[in-house]
Amino acid sequence: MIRDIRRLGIFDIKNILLKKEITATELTKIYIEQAYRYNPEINAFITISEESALIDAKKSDEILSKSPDRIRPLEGIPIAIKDIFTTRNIRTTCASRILKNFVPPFDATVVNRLKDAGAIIFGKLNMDEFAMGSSNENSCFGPVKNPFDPERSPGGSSGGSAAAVAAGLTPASLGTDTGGSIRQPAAFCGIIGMKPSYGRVSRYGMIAFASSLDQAGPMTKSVRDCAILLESIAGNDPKDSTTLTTPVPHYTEWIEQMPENPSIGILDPDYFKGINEEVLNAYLETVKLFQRLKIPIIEIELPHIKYAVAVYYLIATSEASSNLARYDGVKYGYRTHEFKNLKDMYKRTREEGFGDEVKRRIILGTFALSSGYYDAFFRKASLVRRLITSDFYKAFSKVSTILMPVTPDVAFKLKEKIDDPLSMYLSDIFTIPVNLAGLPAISLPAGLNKENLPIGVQFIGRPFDEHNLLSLAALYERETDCMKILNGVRL
Amino acid sequence: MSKIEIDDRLLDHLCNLSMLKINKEDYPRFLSQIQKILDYMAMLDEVNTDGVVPMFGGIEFPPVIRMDIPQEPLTRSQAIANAPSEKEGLFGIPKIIE
Repeated sequence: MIRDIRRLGIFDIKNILLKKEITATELTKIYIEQAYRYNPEINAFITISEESALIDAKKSDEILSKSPDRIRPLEGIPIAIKDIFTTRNIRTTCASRILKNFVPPFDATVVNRLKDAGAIIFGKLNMDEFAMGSSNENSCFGPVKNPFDPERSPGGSSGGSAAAVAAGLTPASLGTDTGGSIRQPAAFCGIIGMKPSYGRVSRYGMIAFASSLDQAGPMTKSVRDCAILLESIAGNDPKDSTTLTTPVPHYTEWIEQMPENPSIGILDPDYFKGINEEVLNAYLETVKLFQRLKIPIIEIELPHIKYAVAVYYLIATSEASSNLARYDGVKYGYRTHEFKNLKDMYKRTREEGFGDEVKRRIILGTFALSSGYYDAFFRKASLVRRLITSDFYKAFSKVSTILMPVTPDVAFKLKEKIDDPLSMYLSDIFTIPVNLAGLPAISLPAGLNKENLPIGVQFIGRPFDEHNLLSLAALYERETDCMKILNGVRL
Repeated sequence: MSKIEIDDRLLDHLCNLSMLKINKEDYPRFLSQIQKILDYMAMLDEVNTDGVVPMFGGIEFPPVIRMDIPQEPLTRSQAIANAPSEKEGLFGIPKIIE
């Protein structure tokens, strides 16, 4: 049983804990030991929170052994999360030099909710600095390696989460998705990643990148685990006024049933010109699968999505330039050692504390918001954002779900795109439109290419329709046995 | 939007606005990368946005309000625990009045 622990997800682990085949403490020790053993090869962990994890595990063991009526949904399950979520008394770096020694005095709401559900937070996972990147190469702790091929990127920005889940170093994880940062690494690492609707999950304590786009979501090895995690973290939070009060459906029940009146929207192949042939074929195979299942397939149009990357890199950078103004070396975080005066201290602190990509985005955002350029750049992007969103709403009047590839290609090699930011940005072309419109979407494995690299496919849903999206994803998972691709993991 | 040329002067100005410093030897690299991105963004010029209302939020719904109930705040020592410089329980900064 212990031999196969790396293959297990949340649901499987819960079962062995309930059957008392293992204790939460033994399990946590195994995950911590694995993290130490494999991290030199994969670089997925930034921090391993051994001490607090073992204290939490002991509490779970008490409940598991003495109070079966108090057992919670994630009781005793070790989980490592992206290092963007603040964790009380556990270092939270956002993979930035500027926060390298930051120990928050509070938990993010999602962390609180995981803990309240009984989860044991045992590690903080690597990512692109401030979630800015698509390859994980922008981390001040160095890049994460893709478990299918260590020469390749695991994707980003939640690359540490995706790689750790695929390699079995955590049963599941939480990531964040501003322009594809859950779905793209999930696709590159052969796992499931879900970006909920904007407003479904609290952003309190999630270090801000672009506030109108950021959402936290599950990264898992099964649709069931995805439903379990989303159910635990979703819902209104008084500390985030953008979280809706709409009740959270029982996602774990929805995955047991068929989606309500499903119909699938597909785009004309012209939209996919220039994408990798095997990625396109995997997408077309998915369309055929739903045809066989007698789910209506309807062609839709999204005429403005070709502008999404341009819109996104104006809006996200503008919001980032404002959000990152707080890092000034005064209240917390890094401060430069040599400076002439206060202004010089700010400038040098930020020069030394931020990496190149973060600086580039702050500069671009400052430009788009600055006097003389605001109307032509930030405002124009906000207008086109409306058109992109309207396209989606029109499509959703005809179909319940839109099917799209996740990425134009499979995982690229490390260093391949790092000197060409625009080419890196364009790799997010199919994920970005979803964030601009605030929609939920789930990325699922759609097989391996000839080089044994995972391909992903995404289902995009109507706002707050995560339950139907998960139900359709569960159907897809049953029909395709898509998670068997994790047998291809080389680590 | 038309064509925007980003040069040393504009980059100086943006660094100043955003309290950033970039090494002079890195200027050519930053300028060419940002120029390439801005050139790409010029495609937005072709979109007719007459009569369109800008979208600034993630999803549009009425703001969710809550009762104004006082919560337990951080203690002074918790609030200051991460400060790079602390003096007598206060955040320390360099002298600002010469």
